[in-house]
Amino acid sequence: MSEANAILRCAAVPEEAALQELQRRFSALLARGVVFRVELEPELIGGYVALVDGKRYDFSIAARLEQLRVALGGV
Amino acid sequence: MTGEEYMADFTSHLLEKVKGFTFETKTGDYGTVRSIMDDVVQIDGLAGSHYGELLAFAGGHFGLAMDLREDGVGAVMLSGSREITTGGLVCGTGHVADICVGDALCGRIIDPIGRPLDGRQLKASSFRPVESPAPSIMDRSPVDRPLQTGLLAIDSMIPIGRGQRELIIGDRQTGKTAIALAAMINQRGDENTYCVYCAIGQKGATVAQVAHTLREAGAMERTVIVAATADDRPTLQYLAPYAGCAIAEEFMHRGKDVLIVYDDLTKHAAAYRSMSLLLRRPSGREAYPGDVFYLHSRLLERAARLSDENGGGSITALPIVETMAGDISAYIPTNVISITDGQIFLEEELFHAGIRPAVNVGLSVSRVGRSAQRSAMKEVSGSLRLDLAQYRDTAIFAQFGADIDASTARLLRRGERLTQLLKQKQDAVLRLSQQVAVLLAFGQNLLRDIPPAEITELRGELLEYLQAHCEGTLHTIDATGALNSSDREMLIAYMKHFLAERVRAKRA
Repeated sequence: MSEANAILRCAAVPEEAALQELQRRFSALLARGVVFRVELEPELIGGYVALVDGKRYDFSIAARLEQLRVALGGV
Repeated sequence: MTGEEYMADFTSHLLEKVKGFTFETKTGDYGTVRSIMDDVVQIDGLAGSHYGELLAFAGGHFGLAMDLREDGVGAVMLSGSREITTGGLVCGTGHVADICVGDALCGRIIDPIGRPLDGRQLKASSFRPVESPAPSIMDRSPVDRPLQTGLLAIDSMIPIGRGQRELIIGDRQTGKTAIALAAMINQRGDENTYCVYCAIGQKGATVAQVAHTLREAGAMERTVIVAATADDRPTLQYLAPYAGCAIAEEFMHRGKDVLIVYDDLTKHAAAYRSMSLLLRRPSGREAYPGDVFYLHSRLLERAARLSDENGGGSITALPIVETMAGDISAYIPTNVISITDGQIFLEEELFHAGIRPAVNVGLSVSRVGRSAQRSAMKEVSGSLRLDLAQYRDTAIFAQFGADIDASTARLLRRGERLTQLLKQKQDAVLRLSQQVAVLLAFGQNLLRDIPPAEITELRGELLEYLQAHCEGTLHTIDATGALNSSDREMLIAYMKHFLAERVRAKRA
């Protein structure tokens, strides 16, 4: 099983255990080995964005706040 | 309500909204910037993107996917290309470029991606894709209602119908925009008609002047200006007419009539040529890409008159094309002439001779407008084109001092007066009834003794007199579009009386 090209963008450096857990979950999801290269991006505020083999999974606080901003647009 | 109570109320309302909200995990394709040159970005990845899809770049900037390849995507930037770096992330948004539409845009000046350019905030609630298919054949109705431009020379000889595409073509500085502006100004009293003016590659000062003219004339209320000026990137200039058309379509689908002006498509083609060359697409004649014809045909096909079952709205398009040294057989002019339903050809010589609008009647034509012309206008404008064309041909010979017979002299006299009668400033638009009255006076030969130099002034006085004495008749003509025999006789009698009075006053 080849290793995927994977980047993890986080607002702060993740704990090693959390990173291992994420890699395990993504490996299971994509049925191939995933080893993240971590990049820091403080604009995300919190959470993370995983970039794996041309797909983007956004679990960041910044994205959630943006969703909230759009939803509250009518207020 | 006190300030505290207001805050408490506001907070509870906000909490309620937030409580019911569920977050979605956003997933999608992404790519990385391989290179960026002259607003064209080559991207690795983004395998699942669609043609024309809006792509999000770092820093909140956007681009359009224009070239889809196996190993990546070629995109053009809509904003902020200086901030893009190689290796930067690009995400697909999953939707094509769209533009804000609706009543909130009336009286506003925006750019082709919906950013206001007039310094005021814009809050629009609905959007439409910039590119959308033209109405199908079954959804359309024949063009059978007129769109009055208020210009005597056009409404009488080259009539435009609602849903028609009428090209305005001529060299630079021949009054092309002035005709379009007059047509827009003339719609100010009609609450069912909206106007969209698309400035493509124009000077910023020109657009400001257009906005000023429309505002001064009181025609900005239901007008939207979409502007991509000469300093805007080619992508924005390319998008401008499609964005303007999307705004017009929103009104059309609500059953309204829309007049849209594309000023001008020559610059639009040039902007598309720049984009295509930078995207390394194969170039053809004059370095335009192969689809330059489709570029304009798909735009102009979106002008239509919808059937009554579809609301009966319409988009009338007045595309403008600039020629070089009067050459209408150049590439872009011939393309657009073949797509449109007629053209108004403006001539530099006429313009400099003071004949404005400088319409060359021989080369101008309206292919569908005649069937949309009101019966009153049809009745009084029957032989005008022939009269004027014959006059212009004969006048050239008469310049050489050749001996002319009595019938030719009569033709020349009539032609001179008609030429003067058709002169008109862009803001001095005339109502249908006023046009019918002056053409009736001409047709009845009532103006034969008036010196040509006095004709334009006399027209104003005559119309004032008629307004004072036969307001009801003029109103009937405007309302019904028809000229019955009793109204006709009445108008002739009043006009004869006015002219006789005028002669008497002059003698005294």
